[in-house]
Amino acid sequence: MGSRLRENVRHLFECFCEVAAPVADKDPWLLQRFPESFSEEEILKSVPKFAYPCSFENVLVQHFSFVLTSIDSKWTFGFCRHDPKTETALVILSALPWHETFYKLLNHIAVITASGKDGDLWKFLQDVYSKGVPAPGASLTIPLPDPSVVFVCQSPKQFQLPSIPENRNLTEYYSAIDSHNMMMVFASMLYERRIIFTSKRLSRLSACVQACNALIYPMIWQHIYIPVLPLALMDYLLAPMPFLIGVPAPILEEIHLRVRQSDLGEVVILDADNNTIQSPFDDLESLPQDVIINLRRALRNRAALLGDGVSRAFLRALVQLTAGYREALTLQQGERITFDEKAFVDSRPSSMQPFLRKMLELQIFQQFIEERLHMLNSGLGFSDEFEMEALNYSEKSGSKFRQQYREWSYAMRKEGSAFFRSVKDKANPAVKSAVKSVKEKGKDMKTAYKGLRWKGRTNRQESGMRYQQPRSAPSSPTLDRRPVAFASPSKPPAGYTATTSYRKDLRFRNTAVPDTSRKQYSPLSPSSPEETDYPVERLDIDLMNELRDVIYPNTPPVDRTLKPVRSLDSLRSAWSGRLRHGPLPSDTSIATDIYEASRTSDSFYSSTLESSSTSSNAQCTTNHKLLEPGTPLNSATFDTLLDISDTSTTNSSSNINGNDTSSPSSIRSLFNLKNSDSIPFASLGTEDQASNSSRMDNLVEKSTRDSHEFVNLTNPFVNKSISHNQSLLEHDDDQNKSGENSKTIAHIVQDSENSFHRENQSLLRISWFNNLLDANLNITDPSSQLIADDPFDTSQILNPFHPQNPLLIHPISLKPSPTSIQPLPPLNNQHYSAQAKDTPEPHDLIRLDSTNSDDEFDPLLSKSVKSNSAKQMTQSLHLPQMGEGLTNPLYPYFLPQHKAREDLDLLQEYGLDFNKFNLANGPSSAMTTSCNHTIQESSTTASFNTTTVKTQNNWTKFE
Amino acid sequence: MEDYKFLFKVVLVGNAGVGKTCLVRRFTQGLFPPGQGATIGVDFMIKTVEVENEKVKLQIWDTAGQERFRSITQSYYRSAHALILVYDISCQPTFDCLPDWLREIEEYASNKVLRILVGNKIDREDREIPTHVGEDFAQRHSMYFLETSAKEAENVERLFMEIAAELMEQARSKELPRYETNATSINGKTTSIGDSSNCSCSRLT
Repeated sequence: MGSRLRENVRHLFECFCEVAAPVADKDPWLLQRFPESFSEEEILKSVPKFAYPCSFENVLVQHFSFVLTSIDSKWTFGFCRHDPKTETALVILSALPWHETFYKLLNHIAVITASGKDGDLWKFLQDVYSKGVPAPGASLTIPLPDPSVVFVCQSPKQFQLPSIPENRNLTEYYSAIDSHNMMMVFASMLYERRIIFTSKRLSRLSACVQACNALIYPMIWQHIYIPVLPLALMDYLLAPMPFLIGVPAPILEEIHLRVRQSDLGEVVILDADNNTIQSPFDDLESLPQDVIINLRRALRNRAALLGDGVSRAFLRALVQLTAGYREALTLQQGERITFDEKAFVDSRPSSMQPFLRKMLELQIFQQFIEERLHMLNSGLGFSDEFEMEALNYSEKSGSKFRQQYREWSYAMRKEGSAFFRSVKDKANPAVKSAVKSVKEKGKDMKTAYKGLRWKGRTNRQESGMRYQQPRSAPSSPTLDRRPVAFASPSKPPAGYTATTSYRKDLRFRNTAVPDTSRKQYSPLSPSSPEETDYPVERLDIDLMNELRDVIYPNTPPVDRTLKPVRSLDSLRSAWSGRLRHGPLPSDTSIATDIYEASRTSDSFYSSTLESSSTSSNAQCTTNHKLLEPGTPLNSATFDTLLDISDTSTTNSSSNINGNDTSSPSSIRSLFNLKNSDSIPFASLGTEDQASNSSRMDNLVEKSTRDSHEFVNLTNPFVNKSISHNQSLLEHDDDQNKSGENSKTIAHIVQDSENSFHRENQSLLRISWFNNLLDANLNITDPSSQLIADDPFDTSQILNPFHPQNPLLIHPISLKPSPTSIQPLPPLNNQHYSAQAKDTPEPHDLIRLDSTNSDDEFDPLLSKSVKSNSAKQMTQSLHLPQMGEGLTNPLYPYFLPQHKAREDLDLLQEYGLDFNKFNLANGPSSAMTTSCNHTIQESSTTASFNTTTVKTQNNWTKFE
Repeated sequence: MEDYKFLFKVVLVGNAGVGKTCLVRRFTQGLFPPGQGATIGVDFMIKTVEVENEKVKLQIWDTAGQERFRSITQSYYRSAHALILVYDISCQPTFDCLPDWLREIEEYASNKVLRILVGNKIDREDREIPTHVGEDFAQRHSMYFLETSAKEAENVERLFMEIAAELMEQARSKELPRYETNATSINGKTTSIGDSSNCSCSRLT
């Protein structure tokens, strides 16, 4: 069988190990394990090696996975968690590739471990171990010592394609590697090359390897597969057979020193840190051109890439290559079903035949066919995503219109689900009701467009009923896509209608509707302590409203409505901030964080200002034309602009594209929402900016009294946080400890200058209008970034009342409490969700599995949220007893110090990447590919030798 | 960097239980690195031998779990210098599987990897496959042929030494070790990459 996943898995995990870090000359070693009965010596011997594959920089908590391959070629996954604050690594061995699940499990274990109660840990592990594996789609509940919380783990649904951002590996991969390079890797895998991935970060390395294996579904990599290669096994890079190996950057350097290039042979090397690929082959060009064209087009359609769009694009490419296999199946009487290779090739378009003939030689293709044949011959039904797509594909011969329509349906469904998810996660009652009505409208639309629907298969839900016997599912679990109530009406008209009605609805329906879609805590309850305990903060309100006034006059709602939104924009927002997924963290916490961050860096800001101002002149000018800064209010807007420019650095092209397409999407809807009088949808971000700006304004007054400088002031910080997270953290720590920060200053100045160059370019490329469009969506980006840079200890040193800015009268500074700011509009969804973060929820369900569709786990988001909360609680505010562990519904049980680690972990794992994300995948990114074609000039001799192959000399007995 | 003139990569193929691993272990006898077969799924052993006063490093790759393949396709040994196909002379089914193993190889015989058929376990009394049958098969498929006994260490050393000598001869003729023997691109064009050129096999003495 082709699948390399074990079947009949009895336990969620095979073994938990704690591995001590290597010290001096001593190799890493196994400290303890659970269960003790786990006695596979070979594996136990290898775990320390894989957990510490090489000496690597471990500044932040990071998760990665490794894979052990047994004699029978089955995989055992090792999920690993490194915490710089501890001397050990936590490892879970499991036959299940459920990354999200086990990473969360590891986080929980880390908490228990840190609490020092070994008994709790063993009890917990015992509970998990003995529960067995939940059936697909089912969940597993583990009670915790604290009766108010339980640990829930859900099994992924079958046949789900990995989706962004739920699937952590794919998200990381997609953010690190642009689409052209992804296609290069895809082609190299189809040709079964010897492929090396490399990265400095183990988390990225393993994620990329695991993700690209998932992208060749329904095929499965049949060869050597080592997502993270330990130094001791370096020689495996010399293997003559195909491999897919993740090589930590230090080891690859070592290899280049110690091994002759000729011994290494011809390898494809993907550098995941720099998004470059070297290949001596022409694999991508050798694939049938129409497949490539389709794939490229699909990957360029960024609107559809959210969710399983990336996976589906590659799946369709494979479908195009292999879908005809069914026509080549022959059933001889009384015999098994067989695959007729010749018929397979002949049944396909002649342009493809040369490739297909060669494809038959590939191990992965043979395994694929064998697996399908086995399923047929053993009477197993199978109807996975591949077969569905294959069916679609073979149906395609019909009218062009039908196909077009189907494409629309896909896109519509995807965008629709993204839209609803983003809206739902805001958890605003008014929005909920609006969604409901949109759904109803959608149903109407469905009816209205029934005439357009093709006959036969109506939709995929129906065909989904045929799923019976699980066969090889993608190697990584994915979330269940939330079904969308209105089923894919024709896109343009439906889109407009839905959006319009949505906006209309928001205007009229503001009543609070209980949120039933989310988890069981009810942050929206009017009795929520935050709402009653803390007074409304007028300053925020005013700034926010005025900010809106500034922004909106220039942006007629009509344009926004008619302009498309791209799902990826909202995705990116979700990553960097909290827009699309999950509730926002408390606005207070954000503001506080900003505040703290600024205070932290205040000491060296002045110097930063001067240096950065020069480099950002161009940008200032640009902004100046668009918006005349003068008042503090304008500064706030300006700040918004800054945020835009920050994101536009990586996202400008996509922004433009997004506005050119004509599809409805979540972001536009959000804007529509905002336009409605009742709800300032992004008011949280606005408030943040407002407070931020007021503070910044003070800063500016103090230092330069120039709003241009204000721009300069904030940007370096943002950029610095994007691209220099780690170094900054270190430097900040240094600063805190030694009290001398000249080095830090130098670094930041440099960082900001570098980043400004990028920003200037990008800002020039995007229009003011786009800025406005994105303004509120991106508004929260910098704050989350800022947090990363906020050295925790600084707040302890500095006075929370910012002595240098007496003018700063932001409520936060006066009352540094996580909940000190009362959201102004009671129905503002963002405020509600924000409060959810800080609301103690005694009966909160802890969701540990990403497959819970209601929960919509987003590792990025949840972590960044947590980071805010953590910082706020433990560092800035020193109120660890307040709502401790409850700031994030996903991690209610987290202790503050762990939250601090978690957010570092998060930011390292995702923050950088997601800012790079759009840049990396931009249309121009193909330029970064360096393809090293090294076809050598011996072709003439080769043909000569071909003739000699079969000479008599070729056969000889040794005797 | 180790001191050797040539590095050759040899891949072992064959049904489970034919003694592939024993064959290699017998040859390398304690000189190979500790096996990682159980955790990587592939094991390899290294032995440096001397051929005509030149140091030749043999890297012998032994795939665990390759039995799941119904046949070995070209991609599997594309980068290898030699492919050893092993069967058990006392077990007819392992011989019957040879055509399966070779199916793809024969069908797309443009590769020039050195191929050796090995009948192992000649120490066994219950021989089922006469030597000449193996010989014939090898001849039909343009392979070298040798019978060995890993248990008795019979012909094992010789097998690998012959391979080393043969590969070295090929390499010498180009002054370079061979890599990527052929890089048949999958769209039908046969492009030669690397110094795969001089592949005419000379008779082993």
